[in-house]
Amino acid sequence: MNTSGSQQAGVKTRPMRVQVKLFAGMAAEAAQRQLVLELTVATVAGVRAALAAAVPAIAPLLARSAVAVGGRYAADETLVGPDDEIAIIPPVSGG
Amino acid sequence: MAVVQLVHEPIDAAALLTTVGSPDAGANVLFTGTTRRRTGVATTDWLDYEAYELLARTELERLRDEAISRFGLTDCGIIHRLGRVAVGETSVAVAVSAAHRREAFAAAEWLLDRLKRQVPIWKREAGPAGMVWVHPESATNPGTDAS
Repeated sequence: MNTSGSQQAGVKTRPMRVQVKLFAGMAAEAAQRQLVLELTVATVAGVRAALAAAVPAIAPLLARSAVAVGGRYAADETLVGPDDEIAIIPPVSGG
Repeated sequence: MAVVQLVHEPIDAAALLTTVGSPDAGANVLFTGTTRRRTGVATTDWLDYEAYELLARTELERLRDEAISRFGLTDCGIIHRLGRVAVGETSVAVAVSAAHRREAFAAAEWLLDRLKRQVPIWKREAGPAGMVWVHPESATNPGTDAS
C-alpha cells in the first residue's frame, strides 16, 4: 500500500484528486459511500477541509472523526497521494 | 493462534472457546456481546453492524497480540459479526486463555474496552423511532491513541 506520508517534506499546492470512503452515519448523511475530492493541500488536514466544503452537512461529525490513510490511522499532517486509500472514521460503536 | 475474524453469519462462540484451550491454560474465559432489547426506555428490534474491514481486521489483530503480551495469555480469539444481528444473537465473541483466572478475566475486559474504543465498527439501532447510527459523543477519536 502506498503511504506517501513518509518521504517528501514539502506539501503540494497543485490540485490533486483523491477518493475518500465514508461509513455508517456519515455515509448516510452524505448519501454516498465514496466520493472524489480535489485537494489544494495534499494532507489529511487538506482532506478534512475539502470534505467539509464539499458536504457541509457532515462537518460536525467529521470534526469528531479520525482519518485512515492506507489502512492506518493518520495524523492531520500526514501527506496523501492520489493512490492512497483514504477513509473517514466517525466515532466507533462496535461490540 | 486462535482466529481474529469479521463474519456475516451467526457466531459459534462455544467453538471459539474450544480453539483457545491448551495444556498450558488453567483458565478460559468466553465473553459474548448480544443484542439487548432495552436500553433505558428505548426498545431495540435489531442492530446492523458495518466495518471498515481493512482497518478493523488490522486493529483486532493488534489488540489480540497486545493482549497476549500484556497479560501473558496462552491464546486469544476475537470474532465480530457484521450485518443484521437480531435481539438475543451474538454480535461479538472474545475468548482468552491463561495460566490463571485473574489474567484471563482482566484480558477479556481490556479487550472489550479497547475494541469498543478503537476498532472501526459501527452499529445502527432499529427501533420504533426508525434506524439510527450510533456515534457516541463521549468517544475518544480512535486515531489519537493509535500509537
